[in-house]
Amino acid sequence: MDQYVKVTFHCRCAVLVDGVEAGFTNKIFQVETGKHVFDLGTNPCNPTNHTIDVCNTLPDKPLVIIFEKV
Amino acid sequence: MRATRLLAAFLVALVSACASFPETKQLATYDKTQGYRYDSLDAKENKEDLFVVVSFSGGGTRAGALAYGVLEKLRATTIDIDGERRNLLKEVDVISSVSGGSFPTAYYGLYGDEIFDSNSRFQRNFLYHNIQSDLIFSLFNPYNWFRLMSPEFGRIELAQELYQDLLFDGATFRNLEQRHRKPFLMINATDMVKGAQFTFTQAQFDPLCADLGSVKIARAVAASSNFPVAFSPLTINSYPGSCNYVEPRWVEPALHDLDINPDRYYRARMLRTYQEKEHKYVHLLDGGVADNIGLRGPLTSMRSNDVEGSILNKINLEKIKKLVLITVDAKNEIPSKLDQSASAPGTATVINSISTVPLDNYSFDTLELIKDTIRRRDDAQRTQPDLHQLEIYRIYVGFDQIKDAAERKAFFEIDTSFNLPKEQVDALRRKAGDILAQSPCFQKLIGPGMKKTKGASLACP
Repeated sequence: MDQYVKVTFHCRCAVLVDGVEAGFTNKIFQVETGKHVFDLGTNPCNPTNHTIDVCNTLPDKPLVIIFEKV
Repeated sequence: MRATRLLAAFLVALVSACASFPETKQLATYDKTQGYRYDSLDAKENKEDLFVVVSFSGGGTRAGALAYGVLEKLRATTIDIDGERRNLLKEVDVISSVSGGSFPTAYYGLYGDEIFDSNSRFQRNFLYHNIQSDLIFSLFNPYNWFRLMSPEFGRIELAQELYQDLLFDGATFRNLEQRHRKPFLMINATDMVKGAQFTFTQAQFDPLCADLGSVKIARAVAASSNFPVAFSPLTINSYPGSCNYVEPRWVEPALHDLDINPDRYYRARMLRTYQEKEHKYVHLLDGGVADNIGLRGPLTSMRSNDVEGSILNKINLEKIKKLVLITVDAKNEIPSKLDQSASAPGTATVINSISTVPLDNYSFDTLELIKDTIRRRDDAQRTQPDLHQLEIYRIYVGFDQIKDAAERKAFFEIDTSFNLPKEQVDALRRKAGDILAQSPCFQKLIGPGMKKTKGASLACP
């Protein structure tokens, strides 16, 4: 049930998964299969969060989640 | 004469009416920065770059002695960390334990290196002590007969009192928390209503609005080693909805995961159930009923971002460079002659089979899941160099690692009991150290480490 995501943002910062720091932006990291809420904490970004069912990813085909600078 | 009888009856009623299990205190206000949690322990001396998780299985004194031998060997081993030789035992971050393995876990967590003193209470009053006869003797005390008449006081409370007297005095989880030192202890029991693991951490007690700090260590150890039928279930009070508990944010989305990740869905549902106001008590059995190897908690922590102190999140955040899992499994194999006779086995034999076979099978599955989890992580790292490149060492200490067949058989045939002969305890301690030292992955860990060439495996084995 391992999934892989890459959260893109203009700078490196911590990614919160369901409210807990669980990885860094612009670097692939592993999450558990399921519905998750991704956000960048207090960093101003657009959108403020993504709620996504994460499944069927591979290490070399991660789910890419995009946050843009506000 | 009549007055004497009446007085005696009154005293009996009084004693049994007063006898009750120790109440778990209510948590005044939920605060996730307070209480016995991994994150509340000091990480200055024991950093996370080398993250060592040790699990101790059940198996009475056999498990306790095997676990103790591993602790001794870890203490006698040094490892190079950033050019400095460090004692490997001081690098242990988490100990997860079940049943007999919970005795050395709790004692080491509370008293540290004192456990190794040749005259320590642990040696005198547990390893080389007939706890079994003490437990039986307590049942012959007439005072206890009256206490046991109370529906709220059981044999498990007598066991707790004995463990307090012999080992832990009145120490509570507040005392453990105040030590601020790793390893973080995960003493596991089984919630008999939910059929799930119940760990003595504040994160587990939060949804109950119960204060783990008020709970005696002896009570947690009694719950963890609460062998069904021999003891009565152990009860914890629950006060759901009374402490402004804030549910972790993963729970709501996880409740949609029944199809894609049922394991996560059921974890979420369980956490919800603990918050329902009608559930005022949790009844606990031996941790071995849900997981007799003590590995399920660490396994979930390696696979999930949800659990407090998630190992997966520490890997993602590049805090952990080397992950070491040491599994100490005191599983035995008592030979049976049942298949040499046409007679159907008796009721006691059948009960013994149905209470041990599922545990052994589940432990086997857990070990396979750990192997699979490590293999998949290693494969992923090799496929995707952008993932944090983690070294993983899996070390197994069990009797099937003994090469000599006769010796292996002798260890496998050691009884599950709280009373073993001194020679067997000594042999278990020595053999634990030998098996650990001879493990190829242990040798690699303390020696050359992994060869970091492009695309090479970083997992052992």
